[in-house]
Amino acid sequence: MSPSAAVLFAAALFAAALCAATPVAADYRYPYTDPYQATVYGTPPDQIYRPANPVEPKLRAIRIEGRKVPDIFSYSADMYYSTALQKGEAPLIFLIAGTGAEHNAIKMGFLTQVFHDAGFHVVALSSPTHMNFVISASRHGAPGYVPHDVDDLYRVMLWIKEVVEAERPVSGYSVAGYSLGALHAAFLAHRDSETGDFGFRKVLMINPPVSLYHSVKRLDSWLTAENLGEVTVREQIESLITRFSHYYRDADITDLDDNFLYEMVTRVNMDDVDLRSLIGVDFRLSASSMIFASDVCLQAGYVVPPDEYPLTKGKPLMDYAEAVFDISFENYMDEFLLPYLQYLDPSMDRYTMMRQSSLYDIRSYLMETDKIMLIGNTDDVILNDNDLAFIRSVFGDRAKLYPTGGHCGNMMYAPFVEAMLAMVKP
Amino acid sequence: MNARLRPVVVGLLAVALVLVLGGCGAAVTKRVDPALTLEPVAFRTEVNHWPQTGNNDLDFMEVYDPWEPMNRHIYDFNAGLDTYVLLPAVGVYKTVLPAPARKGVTNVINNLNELPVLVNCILQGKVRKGAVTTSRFFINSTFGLLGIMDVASGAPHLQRQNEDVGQTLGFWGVGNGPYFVMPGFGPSNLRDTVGFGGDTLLLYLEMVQVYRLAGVRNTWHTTIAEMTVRTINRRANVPFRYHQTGSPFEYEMVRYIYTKKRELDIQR
Repeated sequence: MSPSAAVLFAAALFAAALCAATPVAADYRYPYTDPYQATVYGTPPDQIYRPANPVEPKLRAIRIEGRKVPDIFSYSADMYYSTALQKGEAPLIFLIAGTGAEHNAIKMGFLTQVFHDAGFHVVALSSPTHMNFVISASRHGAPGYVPHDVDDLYRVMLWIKEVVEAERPVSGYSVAGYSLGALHAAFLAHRDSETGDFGFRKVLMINPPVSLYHSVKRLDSWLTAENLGEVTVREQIESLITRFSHYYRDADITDLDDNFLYEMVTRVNMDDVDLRSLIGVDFRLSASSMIFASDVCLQAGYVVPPDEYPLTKGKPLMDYAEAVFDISFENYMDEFLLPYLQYLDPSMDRYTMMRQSSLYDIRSYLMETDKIMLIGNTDDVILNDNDLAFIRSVFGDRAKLYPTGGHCGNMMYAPFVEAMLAMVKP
Repeated sequence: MNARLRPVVVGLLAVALVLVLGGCGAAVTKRVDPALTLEPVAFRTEVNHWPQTGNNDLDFMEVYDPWEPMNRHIYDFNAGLDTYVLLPAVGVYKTVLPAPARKGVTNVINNLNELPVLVNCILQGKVRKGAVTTSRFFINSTFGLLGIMDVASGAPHLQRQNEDVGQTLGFWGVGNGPYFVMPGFGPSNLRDTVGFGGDTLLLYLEMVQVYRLAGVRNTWHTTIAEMTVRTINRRANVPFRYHQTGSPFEYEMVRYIYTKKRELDIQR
């Protein structure tokens, strides 16, 4: 066989293997095949799905009277959420944000527009891991243990159900979430199947983790020597900031809009180590906010020494920001969350805590129900092979997996959005 | 109506309009649940991560801020001003004026701001930036119909430049000085606050001439109106919202990003 024929043959084999692995419509041409690039870059602005009729969501809040909110968090005493309602009767969909994200984060705002445009009343909720939710609505004040977080979400959703039903006729309920919010959505469906308060018609899981702790361990590892080698976290962050700074300094532009940010992120030279560390830093910052908020709400003495209370509004917080940034999610889980759960219930152990925060805990429910749909990517950076096998075996035909897109990178890509809508359309 | 009272009545009506149309933030639902009052717990972690001096991953984020307690209170005040005055006013502005008209307002203001930018380009000896700014001003003032349209930005080499007295001072080696949160205006430092005064003076001198050319008699009322429009326009074009970073360390983040951005702007 001549060399060129060998190359052709290999290419054909490779193509065949790709096709076999990915029975996806031919119009799926998401541009980033590197899962880390996909996760960080997202969807190019010209390939983003554009809803026909944009809507201005309404900001709303719930205030729990008599709640002892720490003084430095007084600005976060109300639990904020947003709604985009139809004029007349319509089905309602709850949207649950991913780790550390707020109800109106970019991805949430996008989903709100998309589902409103598709005819739903939309209610968008922050993740229970977002500091506002912790401070204003969490019962136990320490997120990350899924049963507690789902209790909190479920309670809030019942309240919001009353609020919306007083304003508009609602013809049925659905729930959707991305990332950690997708895992929450599955647990909410399970809870609802026992109590019947909402009677969810459809449940959409977008890029869920299978096990919260397995996924966060992966994210944690990207700020360790496992990813960075000899380079320290500090050196890595400084190196990234220097690269972004130089790009900004040399760009002849004054208005920093979304297009500029997209161009900056995609044009600054980053390899997979850099991209992983960037995802890791982003995750660490979310976790920092959550951990600090919890520690102050409970005065648990984890980051803030007990004798430094009360924290006043003028108090410099930089020292705490630096201290809490060094705490991995796994540290938090072992040093704060688990002991706290054991304080609340002495029979709790590490295995139970982890299992109850994974889809394995509701596996049989997920297998038998036909209303839960899953959409995601086989190259999702928070999933490993076992997780993918779990998704395939449990959801079967109800899971639609794309070959590329990383973690939520293709969430705004038009063909992905259309598939998502087709899965929940009335 | 009594001529003296008229501005007062107009002002009150405007405030009423802001309150009715803009509302004050979110629609709040109240709930009572004794299990959710976040009562103190006896739980304490055995392991701790209390702050320690030295060897921190984030120490590059530190900024000289000797007035921090005062600054944090001003930050808080600004957040309140934003929520209860500026953003509702922006809401009314967006309701009353359609997007193309608002774009026109932004363009006219940007065009008037080209002159202080030009002065600062000259003070720093930046020939290319000065030339771009001059060209933009002439193109937009003529073909752009007195600046209503920003036709110059259509050309890749005629992008709007950003220079101000703070950057000019920085260019000639004046340091930041202490970080300072300007009441009503937000993040700054001592040098940039002085610079802000300089830019305001340049704009004032320019506007006196513009009013004279336009034959405006009652410059006092016009100046007030101009300041109001400038303030609302400025706020409407900045996507930042207080307490929306989702971080308890928002003050520290804003302080670092402001300081870093200014450092880079001076180098530009």
